[in-house]
Amino acid sequence: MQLVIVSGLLGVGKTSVIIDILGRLNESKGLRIAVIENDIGKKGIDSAVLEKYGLDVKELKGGCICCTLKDGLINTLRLLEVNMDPDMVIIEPTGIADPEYIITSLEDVSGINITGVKVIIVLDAERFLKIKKMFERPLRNQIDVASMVLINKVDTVGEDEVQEIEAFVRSLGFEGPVIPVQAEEGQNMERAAEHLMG
Amino acid sequence: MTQEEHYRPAAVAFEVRGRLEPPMPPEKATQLFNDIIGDVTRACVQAGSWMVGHVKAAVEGGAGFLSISSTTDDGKVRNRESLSGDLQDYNFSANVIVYGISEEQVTDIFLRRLKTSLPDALVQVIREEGCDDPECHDPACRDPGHRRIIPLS
Repeated sequence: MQLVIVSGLLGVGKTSVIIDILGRLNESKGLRIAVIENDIGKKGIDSAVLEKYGLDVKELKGGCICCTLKDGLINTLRLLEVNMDPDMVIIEPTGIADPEYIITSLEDVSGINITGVKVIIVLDAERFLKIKKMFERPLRNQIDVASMVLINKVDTVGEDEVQEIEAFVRSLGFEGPVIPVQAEEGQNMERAAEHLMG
Repeated sequence: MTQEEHYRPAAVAFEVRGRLEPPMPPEKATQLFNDIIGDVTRACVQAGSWMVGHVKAAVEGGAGFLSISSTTDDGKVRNRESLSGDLQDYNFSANVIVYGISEEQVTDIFLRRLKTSLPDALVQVIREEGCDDPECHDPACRDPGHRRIIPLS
């Protein structure tokens, strides 16, 4: 199974990205795709949203999958492989998770046929300057492990600000695709789906 | 507040259920829940939160499903999906994740705001700390089943 981690700080629009990408991959590729959601609360709100779109969602609650729920993540992947044998599993960690820890925790796992791991980092154009100022280190950590960076909510800012954000991402040495999107509206998301499958 | 506390988000989940009498038309119910989420977001900022991580909610009951999200200091909300029929028995789940104030402050803000619009609701508060089960010895318990149900009225 291919793993796709959709990560980003709180409120950047990770669930919107997943809903759009899954719709496109289901339509065009007919892949068997499962989603693992890590949310707080009794019933994960993101899970509830994803289920409304007919997606198969496994919830991990009561902690963070990059630290306290690592074992829960691995067990869930094992169960998915046995029961569903998905082509792709999309993992949405909470906005406070470090995706590098998730990748590391999966490196030495036996008994799961992981064919590859891709990391989509979602940035929030609307709040980028504030987030960069307050969370520069976690932001750098996320971009360090990114396969693709999506600059979301571009409808809320001007073209110059989008270019500034891309310049920041490039200044960290990231050479992969940086795609400005409006995930809720599906704007430019076909490029993200193409890169994911490429 | 220490540096570590400053950067540790206050994350509190609320499970609210109740009955609206009389049943509320979908547009009015949407406005009601949007207002709660927007007001809670703004109140957290007014109480000293320097960053709204995410204030998000889902409303279920009757026909349809409504998701509400607020991430900016002005409490602007975004909706996904919609309620399509009158709402009477409802489940309202909300997650509040903000930086710079305590989980107790978040809880107080949410419950006070809830009481003004949904005074008869029953609420479960799910916090990092605060297990209400005397027989549970897990110091990091977040089991929703171990949280007492608070009647607002």
